[in-house]
Amino acid sequence: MSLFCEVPQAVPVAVFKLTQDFNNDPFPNKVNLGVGAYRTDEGKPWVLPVVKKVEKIIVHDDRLNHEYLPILGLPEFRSSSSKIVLGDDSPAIQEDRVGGVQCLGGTGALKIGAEFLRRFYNGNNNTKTPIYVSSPTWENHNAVFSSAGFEDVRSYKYWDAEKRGLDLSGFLRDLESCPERSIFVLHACAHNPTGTDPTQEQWKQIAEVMMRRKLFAFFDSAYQGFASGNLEKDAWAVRYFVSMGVEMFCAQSFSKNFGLYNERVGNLTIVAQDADNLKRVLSQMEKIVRTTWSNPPSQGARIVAVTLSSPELFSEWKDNVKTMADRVLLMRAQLKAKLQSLGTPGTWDHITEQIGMFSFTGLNSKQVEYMIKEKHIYLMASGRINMCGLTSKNIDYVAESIHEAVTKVQ
Amino acid sequence: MSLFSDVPQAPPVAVFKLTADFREDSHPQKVNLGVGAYRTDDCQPWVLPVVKKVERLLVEDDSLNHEYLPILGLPEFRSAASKVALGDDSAAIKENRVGAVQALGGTGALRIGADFLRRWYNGVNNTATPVYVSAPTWENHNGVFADAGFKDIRPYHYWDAAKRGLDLTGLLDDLEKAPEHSIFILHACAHNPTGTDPTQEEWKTIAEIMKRRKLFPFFDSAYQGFASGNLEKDAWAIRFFVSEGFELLIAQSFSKNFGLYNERVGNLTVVSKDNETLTRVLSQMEKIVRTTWSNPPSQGARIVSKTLNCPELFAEWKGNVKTMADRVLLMRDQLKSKLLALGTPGTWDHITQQIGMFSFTGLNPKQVEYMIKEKHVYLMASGRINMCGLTSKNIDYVSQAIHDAVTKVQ
Repeated sequence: MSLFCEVPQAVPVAVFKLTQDFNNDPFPNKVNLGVGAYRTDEGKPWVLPVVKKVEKIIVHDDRLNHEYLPILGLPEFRSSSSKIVLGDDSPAIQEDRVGGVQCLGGTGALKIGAEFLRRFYNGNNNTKTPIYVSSPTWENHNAVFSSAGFEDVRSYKYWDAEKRGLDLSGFLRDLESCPERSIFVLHACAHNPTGTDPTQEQWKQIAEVMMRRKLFAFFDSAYQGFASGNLEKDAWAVRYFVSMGVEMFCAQSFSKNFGLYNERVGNLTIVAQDADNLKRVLSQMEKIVRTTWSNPPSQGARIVAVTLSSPELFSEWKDNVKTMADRVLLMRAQLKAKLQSLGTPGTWDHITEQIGMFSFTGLNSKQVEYMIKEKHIYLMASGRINMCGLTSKNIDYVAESIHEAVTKVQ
Repeated sequence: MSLFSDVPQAPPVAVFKLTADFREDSHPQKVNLGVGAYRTDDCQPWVLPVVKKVERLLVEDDSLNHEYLPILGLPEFRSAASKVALGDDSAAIKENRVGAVQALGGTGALRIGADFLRRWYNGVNNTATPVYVSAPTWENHNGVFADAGFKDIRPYHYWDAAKRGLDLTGLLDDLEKAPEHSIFILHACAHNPTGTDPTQEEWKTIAEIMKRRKLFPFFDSAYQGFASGNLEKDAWAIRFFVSEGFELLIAQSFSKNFGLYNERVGNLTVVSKDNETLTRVLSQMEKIVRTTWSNPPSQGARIVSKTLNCPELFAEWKGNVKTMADRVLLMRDQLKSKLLALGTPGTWDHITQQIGMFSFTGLNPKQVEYMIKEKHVYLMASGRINMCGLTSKNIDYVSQAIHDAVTKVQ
């Protein structure tokens, strides 16, 4: 008998199961609006031209070798990553109170941050500190924090299904009524899955309550540059919080904005009160990294570091990012226009008001089922679609299918 | 006041502190015999020629992109890696009861395995299952299993300092006395730090007791090919255990034998009773991976996969591995000869009897301190030296330094 006969079969991750079903579907007009990766207008993955260029530079650089990186990662990657999110002129950086931990994508950055906070925030090993994640949020947030040992993961109001927008009053109420010192996981921009971000004024209100009630801000920044096409704009909320003088974390992912999904390029930016606190915090993060992956992978970090540190390459990268962001904006504009011209019941402004890769269509689960089963258009049960899955060739089919789903299925 | 004012400074990882001290030392004849990475006779890192070749092939391959790998990793890497450990003709592989998880180096493989065992082995979430690590062992073993949640990590007798060899009696005694179902971390070959491996007969005895007492083997295989220069020879112990019908885990690292230290290439090979069990086990490992790094980095795995799956490249790789192993054997030989020629007190047979990158010299802490402070020869406090740090240019200086340490310091 096996030692593992009692091990239950785990449920597959929904978004990957969706792609699997899509792959198995023989229907010629099938469309995958599931997993969050950029696609060209031909529906293909896109290796950014600047990435291709830098990969060639790296492979031909004989000064490079494969010696272990430091535990905290490639120094030039860490500093340029933190600079990207906080700004070249960031006073916090100038005050030597910003550090970075190179991590395995955004997930890895969240994980290391969560493990640190569980050990050292709000007491020692205080597994009871509440973690608040938005309702809804990226499906993996909950599990990353609970597997780091937090026992109390709760949701804060975020999406207002009726008005198809931000439930600001609900959000603020949760901020006012939660226990002091609670940790809040905030989406820096391009909220996943709703695509709905607070405005600058709304962020200011959120920040005011958080500061007053001593709540800890843990930003998840997976779409900087990708959301609006502008790096500074997409980092506004993070920079505003930093300017308020709070200590906070920011988990950065370069999966989307560099298209480097499978090289696992991420950075945990830490903003501390001063250099001494930062130093001690980083030393403990080293301990956590050492027992998780020892030291991080080089390839992706090098590509990003080389790009960010060269003015020409940096400029080329920003163009590549704008190419992606612009295509998404175009698809948003076209989808809305087509739904309006079809006279599809309901309002569709949210399609162009929402930002980033995803749109929360507002389709209910029955309508989603119809889309998948009858129309072979694959989207998340929540009604979330990846705008990148839309192309000039399939957008009519998708618009018509949404129209049918809304009119035929209640 | 900072939220982190009570966070203590963590001590640095000893081996990296040693290298940092080495770097700052301005002595012209300084030698670094600390961290375990291969060096050429010019004391330089070595990017394997086959690796350079494959990197160039990959960068020119326009059919490749950076889309997320599956959670468990690159399929062709996983199967090739398990095959290297278990053999092309492995019955277990043919019986479809071998699976794998691509992981972040050996550390990542150990960590995923440990996280899985803590959740699902010997009951559900049984944090009290004893985990035995050799005395001494790689300094990170303890931390990995402790952070995975195991509360009871114990040493098993291994190194006999008096006879400078394996304490087989002590080891077997610990196996007989360990609580049933205890987990034992076994070094597949080239034991770190002692360089002392059980003989085949000794492995058979170890396996017999482990089977009888229901102890779980978790192999750490970081030096396959590197130890003897022969892949099959270095995998003998693992393959014997598998042929004895054990369910077991193997944490494989390709850091050393591919020189791909910083790309974090590892594989957790899972050998289970049958395919059905394997499926359930892998599904739970997916859950663990998802909250740790989501999915693994591509570059290193692609390099290894391409190499292992192509006969010419595979042959070239074996040649490169033999080059490294042979240089180490040469240095072992020469160091022993020089110590004998100097008439250095003590026996020095262990230098050539030990296998792999490391040698447990037998120098005591005072003698080690002398080596570092007076001679600027850097080695671990345990007396462990990395043979790769020796070169034709420094071996006389090092032998003389050891001679001085042994004769002047007690």
